[in-house]
Amino acid sequence: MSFLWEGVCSVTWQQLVMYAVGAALIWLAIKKEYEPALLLPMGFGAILINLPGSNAIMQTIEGVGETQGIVEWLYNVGIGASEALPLLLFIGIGAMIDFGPLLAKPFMFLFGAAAQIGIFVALLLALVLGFDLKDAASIGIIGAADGPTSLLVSQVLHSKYIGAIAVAAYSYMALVPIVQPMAIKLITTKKERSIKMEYNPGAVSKRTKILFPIVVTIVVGLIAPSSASLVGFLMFGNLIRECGVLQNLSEAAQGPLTNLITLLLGITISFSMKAEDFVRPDTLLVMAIGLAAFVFDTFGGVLLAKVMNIFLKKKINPMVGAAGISAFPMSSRVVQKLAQEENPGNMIIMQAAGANVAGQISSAIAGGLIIQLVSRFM
Amino acid sequence: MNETIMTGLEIMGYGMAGIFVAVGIIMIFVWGLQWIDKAGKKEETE
Repeated sequence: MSFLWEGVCSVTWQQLVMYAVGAALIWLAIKKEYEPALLLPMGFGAILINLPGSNAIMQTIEGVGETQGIVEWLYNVGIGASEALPLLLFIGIGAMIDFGPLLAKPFMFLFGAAAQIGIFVALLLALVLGFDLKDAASIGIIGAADGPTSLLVSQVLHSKYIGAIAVAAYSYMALVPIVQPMAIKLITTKKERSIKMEYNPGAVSKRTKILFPIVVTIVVGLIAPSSASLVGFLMFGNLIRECGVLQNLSEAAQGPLTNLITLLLGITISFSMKAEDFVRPDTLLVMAIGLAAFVFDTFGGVLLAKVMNIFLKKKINPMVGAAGISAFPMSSRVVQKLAQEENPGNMIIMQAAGANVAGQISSAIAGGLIIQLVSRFM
Repeated sequence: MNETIMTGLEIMGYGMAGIFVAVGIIMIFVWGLQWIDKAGKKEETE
C-alpha cells in the first residue's frame, strides 16, 4: 500500500510554495475580484500541475513510457506552437472596443504612444540587473499592461520567465486602481488634476469606423511586421463589430469566443508555473520590474500631457495621459474617479477612454517592435 | 555594463520612435477622413 503515499512523500517545498501561490491567486480572484476570469484558472492550474506525478503535464511512467498531459498539450498547441490563444483573444477584444472616442479626438493617440515608455524603462532596468536581452525584453513587455501581448512576446522570445510574466501582467492589470492613483499623485498637483476639459466630439462617420481597422492593420503591418498578427486580429475583431453586416459574428466574438479562450488561457498559462521554473529569486525581481513598468507608463502619459499644456491654450487634464496604458477600461475609470474626487462634476471619462483605446493599439505595436528590435540586437 | 545600457537606450529610442511614427501616420489618416466627411457634409448642405 506504500504506493498510495508516494505522492505525499514526494512533495517538495517548492511545490508547497506553488500551492500557496495558487491559493493566493484564487483568493485574489474570488475575494478581491481581481481579473477573476484569468487569475482563478491560473491559480487552480498552478496547484494542478504541481502535484507530484500530475498527469496534467507529460510524465514518464516506468514500464509505460511517456504519457501526454492535457495542460502541457494545450500549452504546446495553443501558445507554444502558434500563439493561437492570445491572438484569438484579440479578436474578441477588438470586437468589444468602440474606437469612437479616439476617432473623435485623434490626438489622444499620442498618450497611448507615450504611455508605452514603461516597457522600455523596464527593459533597461532588467538589463542593468543582469537579465539577458531576450528575458529583459520579455519582462519589459509587462509594461504593455496587456496580457495577450505580454504572453505572445515572451513566448516568441522563448523567455524562461513566462510564468512570472503572465502572473505579473494579469495581477498588475487588476491592481491598476491602486498603482495608477499613487503614480499620478506623485507627479501632478491638485490644481492639475482638477482641470476641466470640454468634450465636443465631431460625428464619426461609418466610413471612418470601417476604414480605420483596415488602415491601422496596413500601417502597423508595414512599420512593425512583427505586430501584424496582434494588431491584425485586434482590428479584424473591430471590423466585424463596425461593418454592420456581421452582428452575429460580432456577438460571438464578444461573448462565447472571448469566454472560451479566457477559460482555456488561464489554465493553459499555468503550465509555465511549474515549481522548478517559478520558485526562484528571479521571479520576485521580475514582478518588481513589472510594477516599475506600470508606474513609468503612467509617468510617460502624464508628462506628455504636462509638456503639451505648456503650448496649449485649452489645458489638458494630465491624468488623461495616464489612461494611455492598455488596461481598458479600468484605467479610464480610475482617471475619471480621481478627477471626480479632485473636482466634483468633472467629466473626463470620454477623453480618458480615447487615450485608453489608443493604448490598446500602441501596446500591440510596441510588442511587435520589441520582437523586431531584440532580434536585431541579438 | 555601459554597452548593455547603450543597447537598452537604443532599443528605447528606436521603439518609442517606431510607436510615434505609426501612431502619427494613423492620426493623419483619421484627420484626413474627418476632413473628407466635413467636406461631403458641406457639399450636401449647399
